[in-house]
Amino acid sequence: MSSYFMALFWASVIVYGFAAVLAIWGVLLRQERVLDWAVRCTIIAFVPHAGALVLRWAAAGRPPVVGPFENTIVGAWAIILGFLILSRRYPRMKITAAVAVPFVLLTLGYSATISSAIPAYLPAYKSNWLITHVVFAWITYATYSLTAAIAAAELLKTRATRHVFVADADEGAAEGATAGRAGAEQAFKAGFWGRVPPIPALQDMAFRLVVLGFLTNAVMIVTGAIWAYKLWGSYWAWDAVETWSLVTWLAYGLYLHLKLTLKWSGPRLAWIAVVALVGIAMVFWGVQLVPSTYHLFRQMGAGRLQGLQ
Amino acid sequence: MAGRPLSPASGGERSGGDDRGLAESLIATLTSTRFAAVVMAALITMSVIGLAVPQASLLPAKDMDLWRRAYPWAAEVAAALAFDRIYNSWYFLLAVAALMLSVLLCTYKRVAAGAFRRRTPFLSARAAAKRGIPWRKIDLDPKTAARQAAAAFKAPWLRADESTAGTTRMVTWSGGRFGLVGSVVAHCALAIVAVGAVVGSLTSLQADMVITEGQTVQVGRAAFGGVRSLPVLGGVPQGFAVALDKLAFEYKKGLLEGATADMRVLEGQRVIERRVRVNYPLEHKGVSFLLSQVGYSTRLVVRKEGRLLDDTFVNLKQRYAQGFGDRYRVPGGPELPVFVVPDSRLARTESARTPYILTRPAAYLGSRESALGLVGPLEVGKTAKIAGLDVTLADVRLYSVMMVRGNQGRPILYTGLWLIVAGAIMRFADPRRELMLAIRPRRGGSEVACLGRSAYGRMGLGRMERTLGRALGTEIVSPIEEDG
Repeated sequence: MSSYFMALFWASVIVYGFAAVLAIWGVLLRQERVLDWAVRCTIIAFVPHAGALVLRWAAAGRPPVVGPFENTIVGAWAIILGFLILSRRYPRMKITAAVAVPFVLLTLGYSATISSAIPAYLPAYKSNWLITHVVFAWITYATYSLTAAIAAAELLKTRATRHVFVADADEGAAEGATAGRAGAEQAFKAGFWGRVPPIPALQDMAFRLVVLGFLTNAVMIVTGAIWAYKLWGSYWAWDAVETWSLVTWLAYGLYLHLKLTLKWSGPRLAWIAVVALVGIAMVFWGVQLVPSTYHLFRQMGAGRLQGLQ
Repeated sequence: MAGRPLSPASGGERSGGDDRGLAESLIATLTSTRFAAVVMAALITMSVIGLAVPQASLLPAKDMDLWRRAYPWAAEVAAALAFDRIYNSWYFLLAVAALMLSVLLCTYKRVAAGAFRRRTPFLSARAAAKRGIPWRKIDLDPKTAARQAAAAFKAPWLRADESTAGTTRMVTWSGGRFGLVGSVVAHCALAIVAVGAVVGSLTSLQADMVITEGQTVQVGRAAFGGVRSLPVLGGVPQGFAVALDKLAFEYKKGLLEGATADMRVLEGQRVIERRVRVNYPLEHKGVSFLLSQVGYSTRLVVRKEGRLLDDTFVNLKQRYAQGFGDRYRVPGGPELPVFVVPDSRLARTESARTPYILTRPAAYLGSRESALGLVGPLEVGKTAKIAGLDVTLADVRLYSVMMVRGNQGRPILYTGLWLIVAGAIMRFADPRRELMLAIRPRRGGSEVACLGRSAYGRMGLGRMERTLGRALGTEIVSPIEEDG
C-alpha cells in the first residue's frame, strides 16, 4: 500500500488515540473543556482518515468494499461521521466521544493487524447488491456503535445522578429535597453532568438510533441474501457472519419490543444496547476468528470463479 | 322436574374449563416476552456454538476430517449432539418455529385487542390545569386558532378530534394507524419468510451441470451431476435446453477481471439469448444456472490401426501448477494422461497469470514418469502415436461446471423479507402518538396548552409540535406522557 496512504492512516490512528485519551479523561474527571478538545482532535483525525479512504479508492480503482481491511477502515470512518453529525446537531452529545472514539480506535487497531494489500476486484465482487449490502453494513455498524455510546452516557449519568438524589427525569424540582440536597442539585446542574443531555433525551436519541440501525440492519441482511444467491446459488448458508448479523438484528428487535411493549426504560435497557454491540462487532471482526465463512471466500477451490482466480 | 342446567362448577363443564385454562395458559406463555427472550437466548447460544464448532455444511469434507482427527473426543461429542450441523438440527429449527409462532400470536393478540380502536381525547382543561401544563399566550382568537391548528395537519394518517369544555376548545390529533398496519405487515411477513423457506426446502434443486463450448444440453435429471438435492415437490423443471456458445475471460495485470458466458435457452421454437456472468446467472423457469468452475476440454479422436475407438471430449478437471490435466481411459486401452498448458506457463512469465487464455491450443499426452512417455505439444488437428494408438487432438475448448439451483420458495421469501423492511419503515414512520391542544380565550387573544402522549418519545411528536407552532405563531414544546 502506498506510503501516502499509510502516512494518513497512521496519522489518523495517532490523533484518534489522543482524542480517545482526552475523551475518557474528560468524562472520568468531569472536565468539559478536555472533552471539547477530544472532539476537536476527532475532527482533526477525521480529515486524514477521509483522505486515506480517497487514496485507497483511487489506488484500487473501485469503491473500498472488498475485504476485511477496507470494511473496517470505512466502518470506523462511518462511526466518526455519525458522531460528528450527532455532536454538531446536539452539541451536548459530545460525551459519547468517550465510547465512540475508543471503539473506533479498537476497530482501526484491528485493521492494522490484517493485510492492507489491495485485494483483486474479482468478478464475485462486481455486483450492485454487494455495494448496497456493504454500505448498509457500514451505516448499521456506525448506528449501533453510537447507540452503545449514548447508552453508556445514560448509564454514567444515572450513576452520577443517584449520588446527588436529583430526580432528573423531567428536570423538574427534586422530590422531597432538603435545603442541603437542593444545594447539591444546583451544583450538579451547574456542573459537568448538568450539561450532559437529560436522561430522557439520551434515551430518546438511543431509541431513534436503534430504530435506524434496525432498519439498515434488515436491508443489509436482505441485500446480502440476494447477492449470495446470485453468487453462490444459496441465499442463506448459516455462515458465521450471516448468523451473527441475524442474531444482532434479533437482539435489537428485542430491545425495541422491550421498550415499546413492556415499557422498559432506564439502565436495564441501556445495558442491552451496550451488550448488543458485541453482535455487530462480531460481524465485522469475528469473521477472522472462525474456521470458515463465505465472507472471506475461503474454501473456494481452484478454478472457481466466485473466489480465487 | 326439569333438570337444572349444568353450572360452571359441574363436572361436565369443569373439564371444558380446564381445557380453556390450559389453552389460555399456553397462549399466555407463547406470547410472553420472557418466552421470546428465552428462545432468543437459546438461538444466540446455538449460534455461538455454530461459530466455535466447525460446521459440516460450510467446510469441505477433508477439513472436517482434519478437525475430527485433531480433536476426536470433541468431534464425537459434537456429532452426538449435532453441534457440527447445528443449523439443521431439530432443536434449532424448533427454536426458530417457536419464535415464529410467538411473533404471530403476539401480532394477533394486538390486533384482536382492538389496537385500531379510536381512543378518546385524554385531557380536559381541568386536567391540564391540575397537571400544571403551562399555558402560552397567542394573539389569535380561540376560533381562529382552532381553525388554523386544524388546517395545519393535512396528512391522511392523522385523525383530528375536536371538542369543547365550556369556553375551552380541545383538538386532539392521533397518528399511528398506518404504523400499526406496518407492524402487522412486518410481523406477518416473518411467517411469509418461513413459508418461503419451507417451500424452498421442498422444491430445492442443487446440482451441477457440465457444459462445453458449442454444446447444447437438454435440462433434466440426466444432465445433472453432483446432485445434492432434488425437489420433493414439483419435480425437476424440464422441457428446455441450454447451449453454451462461448466463454470469454478478461484479465488485467494478470488478475481476472471478468468472465462471461454467451448462452442460449432453447424452448420449442423460442430462443432466448443471455450473457451470463458471475453475479448474473441464467434464470429460466425458476432454475438458475450460475458460472462456477471452468476448465479445458479436449476433443480426442482415438484410432487403432485405422479403426475408430473413440471420439470424445475429455474435461480436464485437475488443476496443476503447469496447467490443467486429467486421465482419459481409452476404451479397451490404457489410461492416458492429458494436459493443457496455458500461454502464460509456456511463456514462463510469472506476472501474466492468465490460465484461460490459449492463443495456440495444444495438448500434451502421457507423462515422462510413465511407460507411455510424453508426447506434445500436440496442436489442434494433429495426430500423435502413443501406446499403439493414433490420437488426434480435434479441438480444445473451455467447459463450465455450472451450478444449477432451483428454489420455488425464493420469490415468496424475498417478498417476505422486503415486507419486513417496508412494514418496519411504516411502523416507525407513523408511530403511535397523540398531540392534544387546548385553547381558551384571554383578553386580546387566547392561551394554548399542549400535551403529547407516545411510547416513542419525541419521535413523530416533535414534527407535529413544530407544525402546530408555525400555525399558531408560537413555540410548542409539550410535555410527553408515556403511552400506557
